[in-house]
Amino acid sequence: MKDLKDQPIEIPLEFKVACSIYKVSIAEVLQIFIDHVTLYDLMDKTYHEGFSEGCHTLIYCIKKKGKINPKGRSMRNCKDILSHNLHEIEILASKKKRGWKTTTKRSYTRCFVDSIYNAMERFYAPANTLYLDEVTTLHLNKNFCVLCEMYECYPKEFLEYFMSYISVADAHACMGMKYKPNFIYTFFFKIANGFGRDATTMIELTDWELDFYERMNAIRLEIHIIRDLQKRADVLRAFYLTHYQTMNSN
Amino acid sequence: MESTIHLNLSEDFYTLCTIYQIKPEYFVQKLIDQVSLPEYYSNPNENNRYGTLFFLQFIGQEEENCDVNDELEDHYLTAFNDAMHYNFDATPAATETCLSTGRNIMRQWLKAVLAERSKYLTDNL
Repeated sequence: MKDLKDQPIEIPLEFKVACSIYKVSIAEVLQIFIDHVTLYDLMDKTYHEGFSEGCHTLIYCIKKKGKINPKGRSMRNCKDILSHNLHEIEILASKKKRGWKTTTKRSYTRCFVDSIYNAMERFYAPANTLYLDEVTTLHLNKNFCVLCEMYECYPKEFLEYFMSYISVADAHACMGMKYKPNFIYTFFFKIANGFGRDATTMIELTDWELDFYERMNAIRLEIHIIRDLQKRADVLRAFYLTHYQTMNSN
Repeated sequence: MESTIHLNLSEDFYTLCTIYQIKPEYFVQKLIDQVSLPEYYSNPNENNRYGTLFFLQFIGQEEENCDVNDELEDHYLTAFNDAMHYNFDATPAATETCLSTGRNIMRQWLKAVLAERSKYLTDNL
């Protein structure tokens, strides 16, 4: 397990393809995911766009690892502080008071998160900066670091779990069938559409890309006659992969 | 087969038809002529593909309003897909075979659908 910390984050090919098709940077998507994971939203049961999806991703990842009860060796010296502050956040999350907006309540949790953050030992997320490659970094906020230590997960594990569920081919294959894309993909699609992003820059498309998007629309309709979900996804996967390879041939 | 239809022409459609001197019924007829699964899938690169694509998009969007027998749809579309199998080496002869096989399957599908729908009549006999 110790070795995991030093390994670089593995970015699945399907995720790269998805970012390439929707023209978003990999780092930007991951940063938005990180920024939407908070202790507060982990306890708040109502839906808040982005935050709920982010936190659910985390919960599923933790469940998959089989560590539902937080203990963590990072918290061995501050068990009281942890339980006290978690309790405070829980009270805040369940409190319903007129005029209290979720954003306000979320910002009130900052001091509780800070207390845990300052008291805990850091094994899993020792630094606040995470290197994606030589030049790209992600910023791990206090909330995310606390969650990593609480559940004994490396940031890499959360991020890789998130990325592994994003596949444009699988999501598009569901269209017109009785199936729905998973919620992590839906979250990604929101980001691609501008959620949490500074999407004011104009995108310039080459002729080749314009042709691709036209063909993409057609092929999504064409697969209507393929009734097997897996076969549909395979046709789309091959098509999207070719696009990705052409776009990144050098 | 002929069918009499009554249409409401939207302002924009009416304007275009008048400017270009197109009879709305002529336009609708041309659109209908293009809608064909066998023709589209036997030669997807042909120019008159937009009618079929429009139809496919339409049934995708109007899914709730389309009352289709899913079992028959799955069965016949799979057979159709196997027969077509993305006719990439589109030689004229291959296209022709594909077209007639495809059309045959569509006819069988229609027959099955009609039989299914009239089942309640014959069941109690």
